[in-house]
Amino acid sequence: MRRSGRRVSTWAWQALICVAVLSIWQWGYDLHASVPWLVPDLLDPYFVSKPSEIFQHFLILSCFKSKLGAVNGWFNGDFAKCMARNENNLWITTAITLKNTFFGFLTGVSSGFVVGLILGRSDRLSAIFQPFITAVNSIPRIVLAPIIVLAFGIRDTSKVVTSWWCSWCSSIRSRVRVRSTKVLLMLRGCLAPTNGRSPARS
Amino acid sequence: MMAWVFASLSPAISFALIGVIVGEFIGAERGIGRLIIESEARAEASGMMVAVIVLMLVGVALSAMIWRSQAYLLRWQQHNMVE
Repeated sequence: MRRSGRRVSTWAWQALICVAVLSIWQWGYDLHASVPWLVPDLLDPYFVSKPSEIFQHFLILSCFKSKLGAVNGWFNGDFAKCMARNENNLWITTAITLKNTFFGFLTGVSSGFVVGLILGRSDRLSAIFQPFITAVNSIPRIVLAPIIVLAFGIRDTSKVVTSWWCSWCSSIRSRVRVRSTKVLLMLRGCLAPTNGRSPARS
Repeated sequence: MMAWVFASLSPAISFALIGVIVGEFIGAERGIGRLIIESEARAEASGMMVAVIVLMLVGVALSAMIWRSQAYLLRWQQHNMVE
């Protein structure tokens, strides 16, 4: 009973925080003229827009409404026409980004896993490649994006390669973990019940 | 070991998303990053915010997918952990 009460109160607080943030975002700047010391200039809708405007813009970008504000009907074909006319509507845009993320993630994680597994199993290879991995890891990953775009063009290939690079870099870190798993498996022989976690937390 | 592999999947998917978006910032024909850059050029804050909110939803959905598949594939291990 007490736990469910606590859960409801958590939801109530979360809803309250949402409402508070959204209302400050929506109406906060209206107070700027009367109490300038209370409302920072950053809340200017020119910079951060307003929830109501964002929703209207969402309806236009996603072809639910035309630019003049008329509702695009589903059955009279206005929606389909808008989708066909506007190459950059929100649906196609999101699908393209998701597709590139998916392929980059898939290739990055699988190649990173293979490399991590090989380096994690072999102490010799790991010792040889250690300085290179440290060096590559200390480049901020995203810094190679302009070079990749230059090399692979502005089409989807460059996005997949950038995404592959970023997720590959983060997943060869599993190498370290494969190595520590060996230790963990040895320890588990001695400390079976804790299962790798500290006894205090379990 | 599978648990460690999965532990590196959720940062990997967020880095994959970051990679795509930054790639689209630099130059793209279509995509959410392109939408953000285009809205910025027009000084349309609301267009940028739409893209940011869509990205937020996409990010939440992707990490939820990872989390769900992890919970499903490693259910034997959770069973171990209960003991």
